[in-house]
Amino acid sequence: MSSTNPLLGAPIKRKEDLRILLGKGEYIGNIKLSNMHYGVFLRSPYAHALIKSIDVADAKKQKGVVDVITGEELQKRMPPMILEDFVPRLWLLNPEVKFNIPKYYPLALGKVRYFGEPLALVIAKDPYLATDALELIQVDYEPLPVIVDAEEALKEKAPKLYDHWDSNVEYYEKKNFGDPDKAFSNADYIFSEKFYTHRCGGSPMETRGCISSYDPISGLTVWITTQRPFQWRDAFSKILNLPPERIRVIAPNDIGGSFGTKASIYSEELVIAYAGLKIQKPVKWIESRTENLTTSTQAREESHYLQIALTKDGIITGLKDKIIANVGPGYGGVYLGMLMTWLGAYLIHNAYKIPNIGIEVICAVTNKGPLQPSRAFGSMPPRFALERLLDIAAKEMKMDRVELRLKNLIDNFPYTSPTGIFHDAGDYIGAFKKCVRILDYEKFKREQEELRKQGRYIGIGIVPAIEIGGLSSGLQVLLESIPTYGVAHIRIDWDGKVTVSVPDVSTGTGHETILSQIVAGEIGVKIDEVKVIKGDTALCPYGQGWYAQPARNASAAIIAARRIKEKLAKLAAHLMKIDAKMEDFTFSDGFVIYNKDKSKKMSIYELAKVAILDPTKLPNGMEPGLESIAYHDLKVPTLFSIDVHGVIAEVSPNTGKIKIHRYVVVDDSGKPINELLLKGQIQGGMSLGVSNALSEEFVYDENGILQNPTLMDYGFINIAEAPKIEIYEHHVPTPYTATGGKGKGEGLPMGVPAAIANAVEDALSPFSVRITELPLSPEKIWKVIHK
Amino acid sequence: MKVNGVLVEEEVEPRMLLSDFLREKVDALSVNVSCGVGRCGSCSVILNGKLVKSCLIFAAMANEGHIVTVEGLAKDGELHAIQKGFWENHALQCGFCTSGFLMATYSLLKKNLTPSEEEIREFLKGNLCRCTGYTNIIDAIKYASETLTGIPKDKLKEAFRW
Repeated sequence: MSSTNPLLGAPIKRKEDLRILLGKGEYIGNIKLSNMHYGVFLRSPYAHALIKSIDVADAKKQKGVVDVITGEELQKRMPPMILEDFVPRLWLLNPEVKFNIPKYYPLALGKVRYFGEPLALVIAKDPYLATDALELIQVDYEPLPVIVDAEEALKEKAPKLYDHWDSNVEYYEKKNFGDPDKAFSNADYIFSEKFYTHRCGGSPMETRGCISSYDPISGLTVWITTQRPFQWRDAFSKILNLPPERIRVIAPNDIGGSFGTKASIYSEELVIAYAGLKIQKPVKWIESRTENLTTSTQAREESHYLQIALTKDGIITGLKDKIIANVGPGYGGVYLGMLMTWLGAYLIHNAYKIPNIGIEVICAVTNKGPLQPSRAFGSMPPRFALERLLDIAAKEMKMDRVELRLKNLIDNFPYTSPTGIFHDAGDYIGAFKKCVRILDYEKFKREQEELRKQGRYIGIGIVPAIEIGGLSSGLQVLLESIPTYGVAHIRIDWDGKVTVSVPDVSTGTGHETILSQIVAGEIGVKIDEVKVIKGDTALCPYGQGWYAQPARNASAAIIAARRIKEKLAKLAAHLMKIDAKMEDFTFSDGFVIYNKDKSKKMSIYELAKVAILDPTKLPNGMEPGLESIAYHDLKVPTLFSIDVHGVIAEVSPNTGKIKIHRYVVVDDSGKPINELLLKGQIQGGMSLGVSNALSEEFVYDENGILQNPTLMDYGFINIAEAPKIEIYEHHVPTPYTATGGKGKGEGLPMGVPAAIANAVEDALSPFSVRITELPLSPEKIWKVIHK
Repeated sequence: MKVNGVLVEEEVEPRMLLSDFLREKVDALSVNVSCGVGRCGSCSVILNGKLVKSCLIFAAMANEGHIVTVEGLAKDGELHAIQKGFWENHALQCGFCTSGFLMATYSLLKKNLTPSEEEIREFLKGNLCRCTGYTNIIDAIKYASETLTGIPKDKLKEAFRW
């Protein structure tokens, strides 16, 4: 279903900017309720310890303190986490998986398993007073041996995090697709290497926050910085034992970034909701940056023992990957910390046709912090591993790296990989060749030679990366009982103005603009005449928020708009006394215009007035009102798109410092909804990837204590360091959405470390180095050179 | 103290941070707190003509001072050229860092109306953004610089009245 929507794709500037530029952003911190109380969490200073006792008596007596809540109290008031519903039922896909599921309470009970784990909530009339009271809580800890390394955790004699588990393995799966053993025994070449991706993530500028307010008449209202308001509502319902209609979850109109980190069902929000319910006064909690870095933004830490088998012509015939992931305590975040690794394993083939694949996924619990989803959801480590190994293979086989990739890229769509991943449409080869051409690869190689003679080391890396841009209900209902359809409700008021409501939220992603834009384009009104209501479970239809398939509600909005147009056309034909259908009219400039005689036209305002205020003029059988709701689910399992990353980087052998000279991205997003916003996403996504690759790493000491829990020492890339991202389009519309577009944004950073690392190793080829570990910090690069 | 030219009189505890004071007592909600340690610049305001990070200063230290926040940029319903620059160039996404960038840009352009790209990058190092990759912010600042360079002197003075 394609669209002739005149505004689809237009680079329209954002509606939501005005309020933000005026300092009137509607962030959670800016919500003020009368009699607001403030919650502050007591957190564990140990990574692993028994809690012998917690004494809150003195804290409760402190000035301004209203209550102190501990795990002992929660144990009596709610079922233990993690609820069965939140565990992805992966055993339905592979009955042989081994899954140990942790049991815990949102406030630690008996034992802490990571530095920063919450133990108690102090509620006071003032956040300063609440913080004072933290000092008065006395906790008697008995420290336990700490494990920070996943491979150490897997050793037989390693101390265990869970006494009743037989090991520290939370999740284990081994599966062959095709016959990888045969592929390896018949191979002309086999290459193998261990690759390590470090702990980093998508920490946004705004930390998390939550406000809970309860009154016995209207029920519980909770404002949360979340991507998924309905998931929270249903979680509260199950955990706090309230019917869903007694709970209203509101994601504030403006959320200060997320990058996946605000999709989880966290412990803190549960405690705050419970606290509001209990004290029947509003309770507000704003996460500190240290809390944010310690508990809610870590991701990605994995080792890949990767092997590939090739023919002498460079055709990849097999792949085996053993993945060891460090998932921290296995709770306190999303999907027990393991689903990102699992999905990454199933996507290991990236954009290539690899007929035989063997994966082994081992998720080990440790005393590091919990893992959260983070832009690229599990795909950064596998991209790094495979793209690195392809460069290594090409070099050993004396084959050009570009040629090796071109021989193996998926070239026929739709394509289903051996692991079952469906690629809907695309032109991976065309996009890849475009990137090669833009970088002028052959010319670069000559320049590289020249510069080397002058003692300068520049290199190039070109890698494809596939991004999931749509997910049908099929898989998610099976695994999690969560439908993934998009939905939009549209209402035209008697003045002709349009309101669209969606269960989406915006985390800086411009939903108000893009939804207004496409609906305005369909109905033929001005963008400013369309208002968007989002993120409120009391005002919006049930549906998914903002993850995995970002464009889902856009398709639904287009279908809903077309339904209203049909009614408008029918009404217009009746009032004009002509025999005409929707196709016989043009919807433009606020008018419904008869194509065969343009003098026959009526404004949306006139029609709306009749439809809503004057039902006596309606044709027989037509109901009053101008409202519609539409759903859109994918008829195929997934949508995928490609980004090709091309990097030219220079390395200083003396300092190990990397300078990116060019960063080119060739992007396929299907058909974009708004090119300006799409490019903004790409620039930002790549920049986050560069930041992850070069300067971010959560560093733990051997006692499991995070060494860099502030932005002074956890290094977001800054404006002086960020490279300019050159963006080129290579769009192939998908036939499976109403816009022709695919979701874009989530996966963008995934290919960045691979592309830079390949450029760095190429730059340093005179030194015969092998880059196998991230981050690409000057220290690490210097050590590789001077080993 | 004065905030955006308006007199504010409040009694506060010595330990109250200026950022909290502006948000809670003055309702200057443009002041966003993100890192709390003076690194990210989201809470940047202008105090007595100088760009400062309000999470690092006690409210009492700004006693009798003059503070400018984003609320003071637009005048008579018209956006400041810096705000327009950010809007036209899609230089904000989540917007949480934006107030700080606007104030830092104000401070930069007041001193140097036509900064080079290198000067922009150097001056704005104290402000972090996680969404945009910074490219559009640089374009926004150049846009503001060009717009302001072209306006009459009295208007320019008005634009940098604080």
